[in-house]
Amino acid sequence: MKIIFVLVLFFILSPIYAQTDWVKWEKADLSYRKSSEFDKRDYSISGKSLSETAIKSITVAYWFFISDVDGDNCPFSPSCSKFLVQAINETNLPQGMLMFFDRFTRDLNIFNRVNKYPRTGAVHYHDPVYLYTLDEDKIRYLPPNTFIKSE
Amino acid sequence: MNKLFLIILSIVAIVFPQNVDSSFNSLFQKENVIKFADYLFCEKDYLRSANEYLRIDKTLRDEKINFKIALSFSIVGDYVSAKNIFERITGSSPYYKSSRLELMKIFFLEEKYPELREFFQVGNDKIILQNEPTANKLYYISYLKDIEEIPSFNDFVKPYDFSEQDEINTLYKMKINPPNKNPFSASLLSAIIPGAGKIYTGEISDGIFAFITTGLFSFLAYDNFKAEHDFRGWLFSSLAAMFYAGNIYGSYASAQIYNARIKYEFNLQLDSFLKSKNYFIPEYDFCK
Repeated sequence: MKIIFVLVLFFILSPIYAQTDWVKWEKADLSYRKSSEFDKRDYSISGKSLSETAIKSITVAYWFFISDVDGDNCPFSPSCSKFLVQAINETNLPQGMLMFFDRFTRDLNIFNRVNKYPRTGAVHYHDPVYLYTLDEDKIRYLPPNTFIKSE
Repeated sequence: MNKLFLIILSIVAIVFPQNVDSSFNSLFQKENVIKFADYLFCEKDYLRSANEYLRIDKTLRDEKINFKIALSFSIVGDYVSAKNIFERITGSSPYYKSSRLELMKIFFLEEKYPELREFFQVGNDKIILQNEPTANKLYYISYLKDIEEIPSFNDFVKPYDFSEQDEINTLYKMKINPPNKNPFSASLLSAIIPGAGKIYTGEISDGIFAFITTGLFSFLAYDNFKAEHDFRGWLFSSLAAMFYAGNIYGSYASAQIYNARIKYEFNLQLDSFLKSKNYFIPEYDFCK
């Protein structure tokens, strides 16, 4: 009786629950690549309007030839190129351009950033578009020592 | 033998069953539940304390327990539950006046300032509240949070104690005359001297960089036109013009952000003052 029980156990259960070498040594499909801003970029051009197509073309060219090569070095979140696209989408082409040139001047200023901007993640200064649309109702002031979750 | 053992076991089980009736279990007796809930309340574990009090049957709860349940809910931010219970406290209760003050405090915390003032001025308890200094203080200070026209200075400061007058004076003056910057002035200054508007709004380094950028591109444009490099001249002129215009625009936005910061800091100062004063509501002696 015991022998039959052992045989049943061995021939039926062990093939079902045995750990196979294939599972044990299977190639791990892990990516060690650090996720970057570029992965989330939308390079497509919708062609909805002429102004949007023109600006998006310039932005994509900037991403492709400068930003992607240079790396994630913009100190602000959203980055200047993203800021331009968001500013135009939120307002209009002339206003968006003015917002961008103002942002670019602030980007050149390397002094006193820590005491001026809240932080996004560990390294970026939070400087969103809604602060600069000139619509007072949209402004939500955050003090400089605030940390905001990454977008 | 086994059968006999089973029979005895069954008889014992029938005779001495575990009694689920709370009256036999001292832990669930009303006095002990109150003691534990009081302990939690005094340890400032308000949510658990409220849940303990709620274990007591509704009919057995006195006004003090109901008040403490509502107070616990109010402290943990469950204003709906707190209001429901405070509103049910009747006029005969010794906690009636306190419950009305707590209701005013909840209106304040919910930022329902017009409702707070309506409750004070025309509510069923207006006579009680209008004779109560705490209610008057909450009523007047609600104007500091609101966009409604604020009462005159003499009326405003009347209900406050001498020790509170200094802070109230400062807050009143900040509300009436906030140290805001005029966005148009900021833009105009930047139009006259690039970056001056930013300096006016306190962004000194931004202003200097705006001046340098506009100046540099203007110089490059001038230099290239002078050297008869027309294309580069026009290119730098366009960039200089965009930086110049962008700075005028940015100065306006900078003044708006400055004003938003003033408002934020004012609210922070006001909230901090109110918290330090416990919204003018006297401390209860539940834990003495």
